[in-house]
Amino acid sequence: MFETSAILMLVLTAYLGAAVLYVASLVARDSERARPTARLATALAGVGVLAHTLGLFALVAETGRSPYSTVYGALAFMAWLVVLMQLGMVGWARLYALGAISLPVAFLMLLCALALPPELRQLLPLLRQHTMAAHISIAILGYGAFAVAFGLAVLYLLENRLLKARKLRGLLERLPPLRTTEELASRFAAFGHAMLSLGLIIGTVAGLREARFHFWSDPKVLPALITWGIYTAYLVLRWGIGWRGRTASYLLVAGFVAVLVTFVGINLLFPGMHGAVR
Amino acid sequence: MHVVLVGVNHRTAPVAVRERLAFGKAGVGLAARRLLENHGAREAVLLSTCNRTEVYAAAEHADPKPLVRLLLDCGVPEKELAACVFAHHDREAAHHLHRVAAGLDSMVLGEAQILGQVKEALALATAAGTAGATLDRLFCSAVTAGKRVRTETALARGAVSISHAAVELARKVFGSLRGLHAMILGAGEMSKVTARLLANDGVASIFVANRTFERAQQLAQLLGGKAVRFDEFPKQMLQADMVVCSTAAPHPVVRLAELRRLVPARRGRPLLLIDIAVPRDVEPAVGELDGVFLFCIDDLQSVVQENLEERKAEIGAAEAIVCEETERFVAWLKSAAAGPLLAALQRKSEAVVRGELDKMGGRLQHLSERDRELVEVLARGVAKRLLREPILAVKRFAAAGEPRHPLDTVQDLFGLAESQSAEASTGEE
Repeated sequence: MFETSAILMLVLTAYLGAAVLYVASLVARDSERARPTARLATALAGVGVLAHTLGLFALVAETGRSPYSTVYGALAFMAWLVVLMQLGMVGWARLYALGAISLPVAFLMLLCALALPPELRQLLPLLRQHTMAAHISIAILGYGAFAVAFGLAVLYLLENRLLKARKLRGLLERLPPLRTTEELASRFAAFGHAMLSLGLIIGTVAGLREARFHFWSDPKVLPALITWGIYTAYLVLRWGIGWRGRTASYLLVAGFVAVLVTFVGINLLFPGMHGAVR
Repeated sequence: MHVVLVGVNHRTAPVAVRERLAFGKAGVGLAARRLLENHGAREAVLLSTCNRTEVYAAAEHADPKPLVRLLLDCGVPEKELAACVFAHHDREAAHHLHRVAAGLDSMVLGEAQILGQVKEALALATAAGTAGATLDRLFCSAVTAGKRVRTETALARGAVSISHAAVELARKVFGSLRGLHAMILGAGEMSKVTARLLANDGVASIFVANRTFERAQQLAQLLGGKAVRFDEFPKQMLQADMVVCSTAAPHPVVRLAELRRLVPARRGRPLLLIDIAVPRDVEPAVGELDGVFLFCIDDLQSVVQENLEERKAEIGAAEAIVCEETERFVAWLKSAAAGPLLAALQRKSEAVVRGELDKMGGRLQHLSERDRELVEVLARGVAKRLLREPILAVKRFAAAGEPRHPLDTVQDLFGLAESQSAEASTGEE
């Protein structure tokens, strides 16, 4: 356990550096320096994600189980996904600006993982089954996508405000076009929603087979359903009726808050309760 | 070889002079040919745009008179021309063209078109057969400097006209303009320029609304768009992504009450309103509606102003690149001056070796084939070794750009003056 934590501490430092650099490049006064700073941040995030991959492998080797079989591992895995998606966005659309949100988010996830009390590094009760591993890993994939969608929604709101205030110089020059931000956010949300739905279905089926599992008294069920409901509402508005813009972006922010409550909050408040024998 | 430049530009000459000195695409080639045939230039390239007419020539003597005569032939009185014509040669001429290509000499600092025009000038001269190694090198070097300035400095960055600023704003909101629906309100000059930029950027449709429907139709036809009756434009705004307003109406024509009804039906799709009319066409409160982004002429003007300031701040960096590329060209020009002399030197040595071997030919018959080859190699080796220092010295003198004196010394030393002039006369045929 010690070695894995040591690697992840290094990764955490790299992400902190990358997050600071991304924010610095976004708010830099000197636009000449913004690009190199963002590139440096990306390089640092890249190095971090490589070490992070090693760390996850070490974790698997140590426990002999998938990384998300503990809350600790699951958070570390989610942070890894978010940084990977950020790097993908930079490669695909030069979306450096997103890093100012996604890297701090990844940093906080990893920080939470490392700051967890030791008992949360124990195996989750129900995770001894393969279906449960699938349930968690797919849900986590969805949460990672929601984190990126959240970052994009924040960028959208920021950009909306700057355009309204007619502040065309500086910060706005470093943000992607308004429409691009909105479209990307909606795609990430759609992907996340599909993953979460799948994860919930698998979880429910597996849970129902388990005689000791009491669906409604599980502390995680209700928040998860609320999260799912928020994103469903967003997708119906966005793809069904064509609503976009500010209101839709607020929904994405609310959705991510629900994700944090569902995942981090419940796991911290009721450790080991999800799917536990009562 | 010298580079000579004579010309007028927007700083030195009024448009009344410039328009008479403007050569069309066909005229450029003809004038350059005339310069070669009648005025003794070796190479000639004309750069003729609406802001400048500049004649570049490569000649044996750095004399601007033949080039001035070419301009006089256009019918500008000598006195008038003398007041506004400038002439440079060698380094100054090269420096001037490099600055021009970089956009440092343009009316709008860092303007983009001129680089293409410099390239085109060389292409036209090449087609007319009047460009040669010297001017080819000069123009390519200037284009390199222009490209470097545009990528390495911010001299050409940011919109510096209202219409460009409007298009840039649209890009900020929508990213690509492809597939957008644009609407033009008022068929004035400003709308026309902006609409044309939008059309070039690939908007899906352009609707034109104007008080007089005929003018709307004319403009719509010009842009490949569709004319709308003025009282119908609010309905069209439901579809539009961006609207450029520049009517001459004395009061707002886009009202809050109408837009407020429209916005929910747009379902959060952003609407970009660009109001470049004075007095304003759009009620300012419209800008507070959700998903509506309103910019007036002052917003665009301040963007333009700031961009211009930013460009000005880049002048120093751009001049440095221009000087660097100019010096590179000048160094080449100097070393190229020694080219014919070095070639003559090589020819002379080859001729001497050949001659001596021929003289000895009969007396070497008894040697084997292999030994005869060895003698030949020996002879060439001696000649080559003897010439090594003189060749290096010539290159050194040329690069240093010293007066002709040392070169003449070498020339005299080897008795090369005659063979060189003989070569020059055959080469000209």
